[in-house]
Formats: sequence, C-alpha cells, structure tokens
Amino acid sequence: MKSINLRTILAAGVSFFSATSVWAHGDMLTERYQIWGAASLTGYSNSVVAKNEYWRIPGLLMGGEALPISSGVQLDDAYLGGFTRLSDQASVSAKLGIHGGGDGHAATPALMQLQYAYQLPQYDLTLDAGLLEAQFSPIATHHASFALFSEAALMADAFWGRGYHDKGARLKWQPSSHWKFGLEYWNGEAFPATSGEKGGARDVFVQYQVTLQDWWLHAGSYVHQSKAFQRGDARYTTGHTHGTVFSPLPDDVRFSGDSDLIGLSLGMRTPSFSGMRVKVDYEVASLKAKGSVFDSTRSMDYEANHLGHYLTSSVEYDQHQLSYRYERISLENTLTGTSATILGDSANLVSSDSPIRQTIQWHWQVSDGFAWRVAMTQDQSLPEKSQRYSVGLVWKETFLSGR
Amino acid sequence: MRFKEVQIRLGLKTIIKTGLIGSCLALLTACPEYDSKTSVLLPVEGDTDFNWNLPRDVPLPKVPEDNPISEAKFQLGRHLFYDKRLSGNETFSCGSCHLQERAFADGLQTPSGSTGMVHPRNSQALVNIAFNSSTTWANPVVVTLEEQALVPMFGEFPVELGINGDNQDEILARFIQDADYQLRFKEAFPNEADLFTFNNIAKALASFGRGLNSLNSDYDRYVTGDETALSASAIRGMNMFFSEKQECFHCHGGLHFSSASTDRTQMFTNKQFHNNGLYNINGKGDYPEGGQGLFEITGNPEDKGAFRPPTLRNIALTAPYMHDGSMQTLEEVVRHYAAGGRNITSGVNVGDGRLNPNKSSLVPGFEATQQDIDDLVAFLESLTDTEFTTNPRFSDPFLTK
Ligand code: HEC
Ligand code: HEC
Repeated sequence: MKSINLRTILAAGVSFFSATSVWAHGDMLTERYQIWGAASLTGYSNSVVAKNEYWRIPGLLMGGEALPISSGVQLDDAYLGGFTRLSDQASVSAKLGIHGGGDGHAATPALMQLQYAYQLPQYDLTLDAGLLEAQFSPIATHHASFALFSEAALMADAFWGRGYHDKGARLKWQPSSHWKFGLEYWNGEAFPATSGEKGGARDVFVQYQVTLQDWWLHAGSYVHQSKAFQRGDARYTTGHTHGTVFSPLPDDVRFSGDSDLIGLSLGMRTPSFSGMRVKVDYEVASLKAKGSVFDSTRSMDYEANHLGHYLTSSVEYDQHQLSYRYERISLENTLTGTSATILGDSANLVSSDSPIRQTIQWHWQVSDGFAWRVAMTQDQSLPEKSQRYSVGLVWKETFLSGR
Repeated sequence: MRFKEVQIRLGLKTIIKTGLIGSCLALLTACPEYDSKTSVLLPVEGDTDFNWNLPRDVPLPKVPEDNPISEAKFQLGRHLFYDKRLSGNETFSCGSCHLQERAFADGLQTPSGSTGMVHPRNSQALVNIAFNSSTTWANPVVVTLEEQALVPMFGEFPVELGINGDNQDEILARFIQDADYQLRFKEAFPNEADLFTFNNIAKALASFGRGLNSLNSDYDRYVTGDETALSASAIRGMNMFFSEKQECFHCHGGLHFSSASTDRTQMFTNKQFHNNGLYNINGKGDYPEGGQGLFEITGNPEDKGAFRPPTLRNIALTAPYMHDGSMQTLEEVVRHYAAGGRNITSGVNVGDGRLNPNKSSLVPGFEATQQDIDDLVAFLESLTDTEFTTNPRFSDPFLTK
C-alpha cells in the first residue's frame, strides 16, 4: 500500500470519488502493475421479499442486477482485480467478480471489467475501451466491498439495475484537477438498454471537485440516454441457477422505447474539528421513459416520469463513521390503451406508493484491509414496510504491486 | 475553548442541514408531482354501458366494427333466437338446440335439424362465446358470430333451420309483417333503409350471443374472496386442474376456461386446436367419418382429431360431452384424461386413442384415485352459474308474453 492509502479512500467515503474508479481505471495509479482482491460478507436479519418470491417494486419496470438481499450470511460480492501498465500511455485492467444476492441464486464468477486505457497527456485525454464500468454517476456501479453501505442505492436499483457495466468506450477530458468531462458510448447490454440495431445507450457527464481551506466539495451532473427493444426483466431468468423452487415467474411483459436519465450529485466534506468530520452526499435523478409495454398478445403506450434521490450524511471520528442514508423514489406512470388495465397489472405498474428506505450504519475501519459495518435498515421499497439489521465484514488486499 | 468548539460544530451542523435541505427542496420542488401515481387512460368505448353480464374489471370481448353492440340489437337477437318463424317449416328456432337451462346446449348426443337431418356434432353450449377465437368445434375460418349465425340458418349439410333460396323471401316477409319486429329492427338499425335482411338478422343474433356471459359460479365467488364458496373436495380438484400433472389449464385455462379465447385488449387471437385422444381408428389417428375435426377444413393429416378446447364453464349442465357427445358424464371425461386417451376395443371405431399419433403431449395420462376423480368432478361442477341459466334477460320472450 504505497501510493494509495486505502484507509483514506474509505474514510473519504467512496461514494463520490469512487474507489473502484481509482482502482480500476488507473487514472491516478503510478504503479506498473497491481493485483488486488476484495470481498464483502454480510449477515442480514431479514429478506426483502419472502422466500422464493420476486422483488418487484410496484410502479417500476425492474431489471439488470437488482436482486434483493436475503436473510442469512451472504457474500455481497468478491473481486479479483489486476492492472498493468503497458507503456507510458497505455494500460489494461481487469476485474473478475461474484455478485451475490437473490434468494436461491447460485452466484457465478463473471468478468466485470476488461478495460484498455490510453492516455494522451498533452491533451488531458484518456480513452477507455472494452468491458467498462460506467462513471456517469458516483453510484453508477455498486460494489459492496468498496461502497460505504453493503446495499446498493435504491435509485441505482430502480433506474439502471444496480451495476452499470457494458461493452463500450469512454473519452475523458481532465483539463485540471478540478474538472472532468466524460462521454460514454455503450453497446446496450446493460439495463435499461438492450443491444442490437434498435437498442444502445450513451451518456455524458461533468464532474467538478475542489478543496477550499480543507473543505472538499464536489458536484457532478449527467445525462444518460438509452434505447430498448423488447426488453424483459431478466433478473430471475438469466445467469442464475435456481436452487429452490420459485413461485411461477411473473408474466413476461416487455418494454420497447427510450429511457432518459438526468442526474445531479453534490458532495462535501468538512475539515476536521477536534478530529471529527462531517460528510454529506446528495444525488437526485430523473428518469423519463417513453414507449410501449406489451406481452404476447397485448400492447399499451407507456410513459414513466420517475424521480429518485438519496442523502447520506456521515460523521467521521478516527476510524469510525456513523452514517445515515435516506432514499426515496417517486414513480409516475401513464398507461394508455385498451389493455392498460390488464398490462398495468401484469407488469406491476399500478402504484401510488413512493418507495423509501432509511439506513443507519456504523462503520469501523479496523485496519487497512478490514472493516466492520453494522446497519439497521427500514425498508419501504415494497408496500409492506420491513426492518432489518445487518453485520458485515469488508476485506481488501493488494497482493502484488510494483513500480 | 472546548465550549466554543462545540458551538462552532453545532452552528456548522445547522448550516449543513439547512443548506442541504434547502438545496433538496429547491431541486424537488423544481420537479412537480413528486408523489407516485399511475394514470390509466382507456380509450373511450361506446359500449361499456351495455349490460354485458360481466364484472366491471373484466376485459370486454372484441366486437366487429360494422356491428357495434346495443341493447336494441341484443333484444332483437333474443327474439329472433327463440322465434320458430326463422326456420323454413316454422318448427325450429336456434333455441330448439340451445336451451337456457342447459347453458344453451341441448342434452342430446347429436341433434336433428328442422327437417330431421341429424347433425354430426353435439350442440355446443353458448357460454362466453363472444370471447372465442374461432367458432364451433373445429373451424378456424368462421371466426365471427355474424358469419357463424348464417350457418344454422342456411346450412344444407346438415339442414338446421332450413332456410334456402326458395323460402328466404317468405321468411323475411314473416318479420316484415310483424309490427313488433318493425319497431325492433328500426331501433336496432336506426339509420338503415333496408332493414329486413339476413345480414341484419345475423348481426342481431350475434349481438344476443355476445351478451350470453357467465362469470358468476361458485368458483368465481371463491376466487374473488369467498373462501366458503368451494367445498374441500372442489378446492383439491381445482389445485389438480391448475397443476402441471393433470395439465387441464393449458387448454382450458384463463377466465373463460378455454385457451382458445381472446378479448378486445389483445392484438392477436389465439386459435387453438388439440387432439385429446378420443379415437384412433386403424391405428392411424383417424376419427370417425364426419368428425375428423380441423382436418376437415385444412386437409392436413396431422389435424385429424383436432378440436377447439371448449369452455368448461357450466360444464355440469351440458352433458353429453365432446364434439360427438360420446361421453355421458364428467367422471367418464376425467377418467378419459387420467388414462391419457380412450381405448375402444370393439365396434366400428375400434382403436386405442391413447396411442393416437396426433394426440397432444399435454394429455399424457396421470395416476388418479377415486377421490382424485371425485375432486376433479367436484371442481368442474363448481363452474356452474345458475344465475346465468335462470336470468330472464336470456330467456324465451315468447313464453313470458
Ligand atoms: C339443429 C340444432 C341447432 C340449431 C337449430 C342451431 N344450432 Fe347452433 N350449434 C349446433 C351445433 C351442433 C353446433 C356445433 C356446430 C359445429 O361444430 O359444427 C352449434 C354451434 C353454435 C355456435 C358456436 C358456439 C361456439 O362455441 O363457437 C353458435 C354461436 C351457435 N350454434 C348459434 C346458433 C344460432 C344463432 C342458431 C340459430 C340461427 C343456432 N345456433 C341454431 C346446433 C344447433
Ligand atoms: C391438449 C389440450 C387439452 C387438455 C390438456 C385437456 N383438455 Fe379437455 N378438451 C380438449 C379438447 C380439444 C376438447 C374437445 C375434444 C373433442 O370434442 O374432440 C376437450 C373437451 C373436454 C371436456 C368436454 C367439453 C364439452 O363441452 O363437451 C371436458 C369436460 C374436459 N375437456 C375437461 C378436461 C379436464 C378435466 C382436463 C384435465 C384433466 C382436460 N380437459 C385437459 C383439450 C384439452
């Protein structure tokens, strides 16, 4: 741990300055190579949904990797990552990972990232290509072993299926240490897009950060556009093997159309007062979707106008961090056509509930490589309110690194 | 010193809090209607006021554009349906083979028409027929009830009502001369000059047929929340009916207990025909002559013995069963499915239906105790809707006059 102090990263709250991006993309790495591992193991007191049932938030077309946590000890995720600099300009990084989650789902290791980065320092440009992890939002990807909380942001689950990674290319322009401009172009395999001729996705983002008299401030904004063609909810059908008997799958209802996301994030961290710092992160995003929703025989016009936000405030003292996260999404749907009632029902789109979730967490960074977290979550993502407690362990290790 | 610091921290917290809440609020109020809601916009339909005899939340059937439904048409159709003047020799009406107390079947194996000619098929119940994706036992071509109504009127093989080129004007004249019908036709077809046509008669009969809906059985009461509506036996039968072992629901599923049904919310109609292993004459998959099902229309040997899965609503009232009325009781039907087909060991139709090459894979047979059979029968009996069979709205108007 020479050039990166993990503790600093964690203490800084990875959410903004996502540690993953530091690790994965090598923007700041001066090492020639590095191999690292990370894992997060958490025991939860309750599941989000009953055993063998599906997590479907009423009013929302879900998808991607947004699987619910289930009771018992669960491997949230585990990674093995590597990075190597090929030349002054070029580097390659890769990440193999397991995403746990979902009752009865056997997780299988998958390549999460395989990225080639090429830097043009004279223009302050970096070009990334390959299997990338998105950077448009601080929560664009979720890795329990790097994030402050083990559970992904509700908004990320709702709007882009938790972790956004896809084949694509990214151009970043960093004219100074304050500004970062990015353009990402995606193949469309990640929810809410689909790949192929009628699918695809792209985004632009701008991020600003500054440290003024020990006050760290951050602001970011993004626009993400995607197209989907006959997109279904693949969460429970692909890439997982069912260990137990599930209730019959929900109706196969699909979506074709456009989804536009606009988001704004703000963050700040105070200087230390008697060893204590306060940190606040806020993000709001609006998702507008327009298209049609259909099953094998019916179709209706569909428009969604959703808004999600979260506010995380933390107090840091020494190796301890006490955090509170408040999350809320509002879901507005307009269903039009003769089949609107029936399809609205089978697509689970009829709702007047606004999912809310609140988490209180104590995070203790025991050593560079180990942290504990103890959390209490009040979950109203489903009409039935539930509460759960969790105790988790986060581990990180750099196995090999060299200059 | 200490004290001062605490104060600073408090002040800071307040600033942070208000600053943040302020910015949140600014952001949130900038986005109107921050609460969740779902708006369902249904197209304005002219016929939702029509008495469909369906619960409010059930999708309505498709109705052809050139024959929008109205109460006047329904009532005209009802009169014509029961009127013997609609047959060549004035001895028969539609109601002669379609009796309300039998859910509009007739209790015969196969009926005879007005001239005594025997129909090769069992008279069908007329239950939720507006939702059928095709009409009759096995006809993918005659799809609308308007087209179908002309068949019993003009059909020659067999003759049912016996209307033909020679007597059709005389028959129309019977209605033209009737003052009541003069009114009824005018009401039903308000803007038409040529009121008394067989097309209009077919339209009225079809409109009556579309109103014959039955969704008020013990089973319906059970699924809408009345847990006492079904006996324990019927509940066991229901679970079997909807299970992957007995497979019934694959062909007799959905609201109308037939997979060959559709409604106006659906873009595609699901025409379905299946062979459930009743016959296997000569071991080649043949059914008796005149009862070969879909094959009679398509000529495709694989379609031999394929029939549309009928609705099972009111099934207890419509014995005998199958397209040729060759099964007398529901128990016999259930045993037939349990055996995976019917083995006929003597007579002209000898052959093992279980081995019919065209038999659907969804009729594999299953083990069943006497209790299982009784339970399935009890469930089928729970599909009876007596409100439907006694509703004066569907009854013979000439009896009450
Ligand atoms: C001689 C007895 C007889 C008469 C009279 C008769 N039907 Fe039928 N009906 C039948 C039989 C038998 C079938 C099955 C026909 C087939 O499969 O080819 C049937 C089928 C039907 C069907 C199809 C139901 C479905 O589920 O698709 C309708 C509708 C119908 N009849 C309406 C009428 C109307 C209207 C009239 C009067 C114009 C009428 N029937 C007169 C015997 C009769
Ligand atoms: C492969 C599709 C299929 C399956 C599975 C199936 N049926 Fe049928 N059913 C049909 C067809 C087709 C007919 C009409 C056959 C004929 O008349 O030749 C029919 C006829 C019937 C009838 C007589 C209907 C009448 O109006 O005469 C009853 C009762 C019935 N089935 C009950 C059941 C039960 C109970 C099960 C489950 C044990 C079942 N069916 C499974 C296709 C199916």
